[in-house]
Amino acid sequence: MKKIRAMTDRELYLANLKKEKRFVSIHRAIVLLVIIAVWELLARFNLIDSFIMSQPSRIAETFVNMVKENLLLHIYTTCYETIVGFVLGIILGIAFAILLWWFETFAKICDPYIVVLNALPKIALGPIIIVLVGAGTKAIIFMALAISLIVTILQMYNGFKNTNKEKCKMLQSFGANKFQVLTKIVIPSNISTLFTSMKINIGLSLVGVIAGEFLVSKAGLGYLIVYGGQVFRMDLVMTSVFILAVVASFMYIAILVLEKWVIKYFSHN
Amino acid sequence: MKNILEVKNISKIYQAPNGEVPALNNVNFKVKQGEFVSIVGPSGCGKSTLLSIISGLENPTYGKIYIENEEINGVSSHIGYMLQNHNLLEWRDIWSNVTLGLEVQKKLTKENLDYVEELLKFYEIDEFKHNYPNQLSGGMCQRAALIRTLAVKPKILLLDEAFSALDYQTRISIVDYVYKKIKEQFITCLMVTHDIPESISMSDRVIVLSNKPGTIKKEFDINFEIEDDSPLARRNHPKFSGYFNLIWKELGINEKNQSDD
Repeated sequence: MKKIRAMTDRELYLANLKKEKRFVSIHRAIVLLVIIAVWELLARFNLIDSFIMSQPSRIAETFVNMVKENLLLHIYTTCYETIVGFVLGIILGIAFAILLWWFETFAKICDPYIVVLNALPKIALGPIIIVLVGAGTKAIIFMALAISLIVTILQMYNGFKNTNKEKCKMLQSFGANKFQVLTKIVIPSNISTLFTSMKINIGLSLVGVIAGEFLVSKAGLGYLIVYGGQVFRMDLVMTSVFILAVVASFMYIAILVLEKWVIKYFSHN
Repeated sequence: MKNILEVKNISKIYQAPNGEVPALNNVNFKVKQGEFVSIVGPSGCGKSTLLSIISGLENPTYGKIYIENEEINGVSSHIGYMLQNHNLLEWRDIWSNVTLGLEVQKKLTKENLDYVEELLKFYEIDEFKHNYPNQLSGGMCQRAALIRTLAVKPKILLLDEAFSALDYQTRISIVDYVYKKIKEQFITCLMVTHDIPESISMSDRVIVLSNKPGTIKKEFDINFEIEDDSPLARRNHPKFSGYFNLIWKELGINEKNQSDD
């Protein structure tokens, strides 16, 4: 009798959990639908200027037209530039962080420069970058790199520096050299730091790419936004922003999936 | 029995911006093969520094360390160093954790790996060798850490508060277990601890260090003369409290000195 009662309690708990989850999901969707409906109605009844604010039906229409034209090329361009900038930022960031960890005096010398570069709004470097590497994809990737690199260096270096000292001491007691401490303790200990850094960087790389596309580009979502703004096609701007939000979310989710997979491999919970 | 370790005139002075900080002052002692020696002293007296110096991770300011009459400089493969926490790497399974020392020293030979298998069986964790540290109890992890240290076949085992991170009950039982195993293998041990009962229950000799800078105040030979010697049996022996009081008295004076400062 008691066992049946316990089972019911368990089932009730699970049912409640499921119910709550469904409630949250449904209401999230409702919020989105309400925003779209209110926006559409306000535009239809001319309570807002649909030329400036655009409207969901126009965005949908523009989206269909864009798909017919070459939307995929623009999405591909932005994704390509972001991913290249992001990967370069991570690789160079880790490499530089390793150098700082390896050579303590070098880290001390570099410290003020890294702090200043971190505080500097990298977009201000735009014109210099264009002159330096030429107006084109290279400049855009360079901009993404400039924005994400310093943050990666700072985060990875901090992670490396704060690696468990006792673990390093344990390895050194076996006669381990610095390279062995790095590869067997420091890097594996900082896998979660790497993913925190990657999650921040994917967003930053996208900021760099869009800013770069604002300055110099012939394709990409940033180009579409600037172009839409220049010719007063706000629906094009809105649609591009909407697509950009979706692209950014997918990139973030891709990192979350990768993180889950790698952490599972490394932690074996 | 021949001497295996000799600590000769060891002094350590740390340099700091506001002056010199003496940590150890002229420490001398010898450890015989198969002997279990404990070093006790007030906190901050330089106990752990002394072990770091013997392990070769730190250099002494003055003095020398000899193993089997040979002077050692830097980390020596003759010494196994076990720290307070087990420090198992959570991303490696027990097998690749216990073979880590051999991997570092590039000694992953069949003979050595067979020895690790033997150790895993001897310390009764061989069935967990494919598990990960977070799947094992604290006591098992500590045993794995001991195997990792012993796998490189050190001539002397240094234990730096090696059991103090464990909860009391686990600690009492693991100390009893490890002691018996260590004695069975005839391993020479030098342990640093702040726990007087632990030092009495495991050691053949207890060295008391003075307050900073650490210097040897007194040495006590521990002799229980029990047939079935073990830390638990020693704790129940009438002589136990006598030894405790002797050592406590030595440390108590230090404490008084500390409060005078």
